[in-house]
Amino acid sequence: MPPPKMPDLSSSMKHKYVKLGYQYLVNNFPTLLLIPILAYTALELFRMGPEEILNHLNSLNFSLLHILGSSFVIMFFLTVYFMSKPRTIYLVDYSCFKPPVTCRVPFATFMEHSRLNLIDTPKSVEFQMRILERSGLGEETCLPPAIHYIPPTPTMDAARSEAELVIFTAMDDLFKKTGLKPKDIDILIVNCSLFSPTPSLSAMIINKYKLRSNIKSLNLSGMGCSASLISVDVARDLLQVHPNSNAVIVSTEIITPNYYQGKERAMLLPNCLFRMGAAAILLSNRRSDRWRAKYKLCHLVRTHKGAEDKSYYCVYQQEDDESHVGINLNKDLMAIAGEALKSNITTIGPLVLPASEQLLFLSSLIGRKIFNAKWKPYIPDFKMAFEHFCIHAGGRAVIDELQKSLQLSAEHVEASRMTLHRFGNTSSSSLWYELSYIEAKGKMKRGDRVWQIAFGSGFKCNSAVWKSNRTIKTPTEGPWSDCIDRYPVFIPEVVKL
Amino acid sequence: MEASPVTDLKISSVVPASMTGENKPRHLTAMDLAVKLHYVRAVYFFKGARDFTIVDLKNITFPLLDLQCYDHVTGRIRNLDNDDPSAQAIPYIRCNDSGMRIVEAKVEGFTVQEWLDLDDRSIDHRFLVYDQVLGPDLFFSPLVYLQITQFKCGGLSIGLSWAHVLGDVVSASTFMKRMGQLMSNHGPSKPVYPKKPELAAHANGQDGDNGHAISIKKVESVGKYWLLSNNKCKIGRYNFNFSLEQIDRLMAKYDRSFSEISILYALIWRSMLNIRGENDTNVITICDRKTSSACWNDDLVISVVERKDEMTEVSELAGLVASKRREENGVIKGMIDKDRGSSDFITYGANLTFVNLDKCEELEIKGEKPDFVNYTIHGVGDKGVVLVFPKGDFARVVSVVMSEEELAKLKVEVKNMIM
Repeated sequence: MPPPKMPDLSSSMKHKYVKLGYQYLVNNFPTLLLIPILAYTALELFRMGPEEILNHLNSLNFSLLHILGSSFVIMFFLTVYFMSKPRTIYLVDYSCFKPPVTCRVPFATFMEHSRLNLIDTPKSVEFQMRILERSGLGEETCLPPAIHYIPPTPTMDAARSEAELVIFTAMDDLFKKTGLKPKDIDILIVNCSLFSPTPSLSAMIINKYKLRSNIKSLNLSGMGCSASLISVDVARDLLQVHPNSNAVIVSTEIITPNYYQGKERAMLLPNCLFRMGAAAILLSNRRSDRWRAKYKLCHLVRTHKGAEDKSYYCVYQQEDDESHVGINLNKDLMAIAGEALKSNITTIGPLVLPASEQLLFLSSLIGRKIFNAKWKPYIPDFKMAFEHFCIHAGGRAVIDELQKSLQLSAEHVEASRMTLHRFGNTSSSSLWYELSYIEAKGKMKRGDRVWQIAFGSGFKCNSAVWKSNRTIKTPTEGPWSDCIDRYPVFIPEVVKL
Repeated sequence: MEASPVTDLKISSVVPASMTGENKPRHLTAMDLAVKLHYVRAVYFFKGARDFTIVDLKNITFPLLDLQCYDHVTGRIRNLDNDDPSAQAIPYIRCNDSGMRIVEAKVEGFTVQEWLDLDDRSIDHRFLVYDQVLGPDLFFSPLVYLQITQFKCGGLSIGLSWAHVLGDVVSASTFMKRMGQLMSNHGPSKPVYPKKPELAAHANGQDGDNGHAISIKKVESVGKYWLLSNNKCKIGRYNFNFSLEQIDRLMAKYDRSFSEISILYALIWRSMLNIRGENDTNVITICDRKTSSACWNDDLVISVVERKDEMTEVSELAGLVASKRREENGVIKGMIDKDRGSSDFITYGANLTFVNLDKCEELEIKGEKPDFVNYTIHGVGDKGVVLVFPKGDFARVVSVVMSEEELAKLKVEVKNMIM
């Protein structure tokens, strides 16, 4: 019998304590420095006694002019500081669309329809079956009514109906939750990548809810699954310029016109993953919303790798040999996503990581440059910077890849995996379903920091950091209200149909 | 009518509102296997514009299919892995939420009234119900099709095609009744939740189990296409309408002591005697059912009536039908169990088969009943099937499914008999 591995355990524990001590020291360095100084000053003051202190002050010969002048300078600098500070953007509340049961698509139904629609190419059917088995989707994801037909009937009317259904339901819910009146909306930003009718979807909303004529509306299309954070970025910039305003962002993806009807394998993948979804978000820069807002926007970093050809072409919409339009996903997608993430982290790291991690990363970087390029690069521990992670539920592979590269535990990626299971890949709105999951589980406490990471065609990697303003009480209303008790579920590697 | 008047066909699937889960298997009993090659078809007619639309009907199927008793309706046939490679696989239903097919169609050339005024009632089953067969892609064939056809007047017809493995005509009618009840938003006063059959117990395990059932007939193995191949003759359908006065006259003519049903059965039997001769009409099969809260195939009561050569009068035949039935359920189960899936059987049409549909549940949608309902069975043997069901309050329809040749002769015979 080999001896028990006690020495290894104790050495790893020692290692852990050393690391903890180092982190505590570096992160609280200013405080630790201040304490001896304060202690010394206090001791000195006690030693000197009150009369000596007064004598010291009198000897400084402050005249009225001096005092007024210094106070004016101090006031001036304080004003400049407060004026140039960017306005805090609050996320008052948001709501996610819950699809009706009449849109439900179980695995078996999806497979049967694929067999019938692709009846001439059994190889493509095989391929779709294998993707679906490993996709991580559950039995309750939803597709719009037009796609339930054999063959699908994607007319423009059907696409508009889907848009009206998902967007208006989400917005009605948002109005109810926040008490917002349609006439009070100052900025409206809609992002929907693949359906862009005229008049735009934002015009459709303005028409339906009779919004003001001087509303600042924007419709972003073609910007992929990361467009929600792009909308938040645009809203943030607009809210810097317009004081005392609010902004409503609607993120969605309309499936009806984009269901691929051909048989190219590389283009069949989106059919298996993309599902109906939408989210409506209310942002505000009003001080009065500070108390009821759920989150505060801390940082938003956008990274675009489109300058490189291989990133640009990795998610490409094109016609196949039979003139069916679909989205071609390149085999290198994961690698490109990893690189885009690295780029994004390089920018966001210094903004959010505690000093201890930054120092370690810096020394590892210097060491690799100067001493030995073969040193393992130090991956900063983002778990120290955030309590919650919302990784875009683009597919199982994306979540696996990010879990590995950021060294996250299963609990950290639970929100993403469960959103993929229950709702599928709802494109830009998936981040909001994930956030809703975390709240529904009762895990969102005051002061918690959330990191939302989204990927999209281009190739883009956008991330946003929010700080929770208050503890969210359960049970919450939302898309998870009737099924949260069943989650988390165990998702097998391969589901047998 | 030769060309199809139906246009704008759109096919889609509807599924249970919530997840059934676990792909549970639903085993087929011996009675299920006895009727596996048959399909129940029913067409319900609603004249003029109504309170409900096609979309309403489609939407209500989601909560309907969600009922636990209908888990298997949305499943698909699979084969059990058999240890013996030479023996045929035994089929079962996998409850995997695949769903039911809905067909939306239009008939622009007729109003419902004009359609019903036409003489030939076989058009109902030719055009207003989808021609469902399980197979050739057996594992991906839906077990139920619902065709909703819109007519010129704004009225509609609902055509149900229901694989008999799921249950008999009465269970199909209960399914539709439940749909109607859900549409009205208030649940039934007495929940009509059909119970699942107890699979282990055999109702009559007595002597007879080892005998030979004459109500069912072994047929050539159909493989993965569950339909009887009828190469010999073309099957036709005809509805005989009997008004209250006609029935009264018949009862007076032959024998008042027997029930309407017995007299009508005997009438047809006698006519077939004249057509086929005495040797071919010694046995008839009668399908009835037990009154119970469950309604699956196991509640069918299949009996035979044998005729001795001398008995040819209608009243004598009616007497046999009324009192000399011999139940064959036990023997059927014994025969099928012993067979262990190596051959296929038919029940309807093995002999001249009579089906009494008085126990069928009435459909009512938002307080409105259909103006006419037409039932039939598809995929029957060449000896023919006779279905008897009520029309309106007192009249009756005797719907006959038989080879067209014999059907033509039957029309003449029956006309003579009623005179």
